[in-house]
Amino acid sequence: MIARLTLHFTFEDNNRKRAEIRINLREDTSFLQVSQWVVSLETALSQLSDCAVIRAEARYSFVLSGQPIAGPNSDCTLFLYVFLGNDVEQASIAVSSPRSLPVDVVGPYRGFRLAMGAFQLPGVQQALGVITTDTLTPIGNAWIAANYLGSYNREIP
Amino acid sequence: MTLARDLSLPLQASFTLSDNNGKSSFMSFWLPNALTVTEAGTYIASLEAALIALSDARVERATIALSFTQSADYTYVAPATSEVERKLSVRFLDASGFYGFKSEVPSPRFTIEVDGSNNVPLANPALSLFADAMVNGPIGPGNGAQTYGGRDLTRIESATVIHRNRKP
Repeated sequence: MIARLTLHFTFEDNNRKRAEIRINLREDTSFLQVSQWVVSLETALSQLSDCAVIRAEARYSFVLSGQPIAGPNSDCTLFLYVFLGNDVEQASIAVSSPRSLPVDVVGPYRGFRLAMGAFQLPGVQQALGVITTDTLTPIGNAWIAANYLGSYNREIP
Repeated sequence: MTLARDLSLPLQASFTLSDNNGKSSFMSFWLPNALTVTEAGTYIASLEAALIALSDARVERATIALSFTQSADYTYVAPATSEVERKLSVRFLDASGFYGFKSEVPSPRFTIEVDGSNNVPLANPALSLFADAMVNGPIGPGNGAQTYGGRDLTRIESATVIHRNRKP
């Protein structure tokens, strides 16, 4: 369910300074209709402004039904790095404040071993399975849904 | 001049997570670009559940962004007099007349201005085109832009050039 849909246009003047305008659209606007909106408004805005209209972005915000509050030991400076790849590219997904792992662990080696242990947990396996099944690499290829490697590091404050 | 999506790239879905101390982090996933909005919502719900299984932070926000960029043959160069600090403040109203939405278009063309006044006539063709695009949208009446509270915009009330840091 969509909570909000906004359309943003970015303008650039002769000094390369940029400004943005935002327009609220109906939440039931489809991806195809958003493309029509962009064409229509770009034409109109170009008649009004002498700036270059350099880009547009439609942002769909979704209603979430998840946990209402963060856990007492949650820490978004801690990350579980999940390394995935396929035949042509490798990339990682960084999950902040990982569950199932103690938050007081420091040091990449020990953290790595703990992360590998965590991968054996059924809940973690299932969640990573969803991610690799549902999502793609940044350039649109499929992940390989096996042979996860991970490490667990504290981000530098 | 045509902003368009690069359909060779996947859709970008972003999640914002926040911890018990109010710190937040941001992560992205890439989804098949052939999805409909409804299908994308199903993917978001599935990924949200997966994230909750992996993280004890609060999954605060999920967004899908569609990016539109100019084609390679876009050669328009803004004139030297262009200045994004100058704005055309256009105010729209809903049917009740009590709720509105203001859009500030950067660097309005000097040709739409009237000497001696900051107000642009509502009958100005460029302004009328913009008003029609906002109120009716590309799909037709009843599917136009809205206020922040979700009320349909039905008419334009005023258009005023705001001379901030205007070049001579």
